[in-house]
Amino acid sequence: MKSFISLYKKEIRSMLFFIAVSILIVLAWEVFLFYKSSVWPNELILGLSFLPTSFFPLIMLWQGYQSYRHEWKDDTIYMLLTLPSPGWKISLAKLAAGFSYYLSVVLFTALMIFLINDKSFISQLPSYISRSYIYKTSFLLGIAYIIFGMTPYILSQFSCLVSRFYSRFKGLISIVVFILTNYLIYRTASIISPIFNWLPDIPVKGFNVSMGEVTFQTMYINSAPIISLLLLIIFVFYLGSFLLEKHLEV
Amino acid sequence: MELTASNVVELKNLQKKYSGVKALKGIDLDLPAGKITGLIGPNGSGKSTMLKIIAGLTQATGGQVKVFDKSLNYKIKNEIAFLPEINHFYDWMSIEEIINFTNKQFSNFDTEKAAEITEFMNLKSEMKIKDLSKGMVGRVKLILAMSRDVPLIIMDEPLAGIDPKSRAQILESLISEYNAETQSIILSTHEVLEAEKFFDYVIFLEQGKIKLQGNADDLRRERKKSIQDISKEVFM
Repeated sequence: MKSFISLYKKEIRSMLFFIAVSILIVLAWEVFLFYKSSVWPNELILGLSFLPTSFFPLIMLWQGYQSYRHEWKDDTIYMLLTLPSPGWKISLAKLAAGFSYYLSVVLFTALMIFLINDKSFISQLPSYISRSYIYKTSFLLGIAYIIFGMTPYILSQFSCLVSRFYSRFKGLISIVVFILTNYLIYRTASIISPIFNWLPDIPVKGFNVSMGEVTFQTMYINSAPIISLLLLIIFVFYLGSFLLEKHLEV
Repeated sequence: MELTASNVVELKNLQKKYSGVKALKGIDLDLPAGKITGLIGPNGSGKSTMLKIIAGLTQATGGQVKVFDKSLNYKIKNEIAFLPEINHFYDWMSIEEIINFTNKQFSNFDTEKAAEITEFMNLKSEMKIKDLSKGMVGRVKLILAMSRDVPLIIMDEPLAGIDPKSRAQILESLISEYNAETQSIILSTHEVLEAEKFFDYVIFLEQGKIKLQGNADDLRRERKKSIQDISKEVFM
């Protein structure tokens, strides 16, 4: 465990500058919106305050790719490959650090969105939308968003590892592998999802406003394709770790 | 770990190809335990490739590799200290951070010994890798290797690009910390003249093949020449 924590700390330390820059950029953007909130419409401010969240999955994609590219570029891969640790432990430390980065910027952005829009928008919502409903829905959306963001990280990390088998056109190979892996996991997930049909569906409470009348209804999301997709992503992660431990070289 | 196997490394018909070019052309070798083995050869002879395969950093394309009678796996890396020729450290790390990191990764690392050797090497633990000269980085590599109680130490050109004074210091500390009863060292170098007095066993490698190998003293006696002169003769 101490070897994993030490690897994790090393990864976090090497990302520290990037984390600080990301948080400062988000802060600058949200403060800018805060000063514009008295001039611009509330709906526009709410929409724009979510803008940074559209970039985070892209940053995760880049981070996943860089997580191993840098090790080869800087020759530090020698250090990693001489460690008596299995490939999954080294990759998991990187993943945990990537996740920590993602979680910290997402939570910080969520806090800023709340602070900016609480008085101007959230507190002025109709009475049938309770605060607990907003928090519950935001929590569910947040989890979905975090899973959505970690997927490109794992897939781009895998693409980078595969490209290391080739001496030339590594960037191009990474792009091709990334696209192919995406296609294959989504295709395979749809094929294997019937196996998980026995799993309970995920209930999501929604509401409908029609002719001034509000009706609440519960929708059910099929969990089988989600579980299939998660399992396949874990498989891709493990496959990348296996390649690192058994086949890749300096 | 005690040295129980008579051979620390066994290579059978070891082959390695890079993009169609054969770097190693069927190496058969049994490296004896408890000895300092010198690996000598010109650039491109396959020395680094062979050492990286033994350390588990590169995969052989053919043949068999056994270290301590076992096939290579990640667990065995705890028993091997490998010093690559290049600077493989994170440049934002200080010497202290590297020592702490290595201590957490290897069960046989001795931090007190590391602190002693750091002092002996005239290095300060708060120094950052990015601020160190090549010779200083070479010494840091040596600190990490010598602070571990491992049966096998592999050094790829530990003296390359280092000034004569530092080279002497590195060799001196290497020998002072070496324990022949429990450790074996494989060392590749071009600085044959300076290092040969420490060699117990010598391997001459050229174009991916072993040209000559044997006990250093036997070779000197048989040929009535120094290892340096024998290498000139072998690679002529």
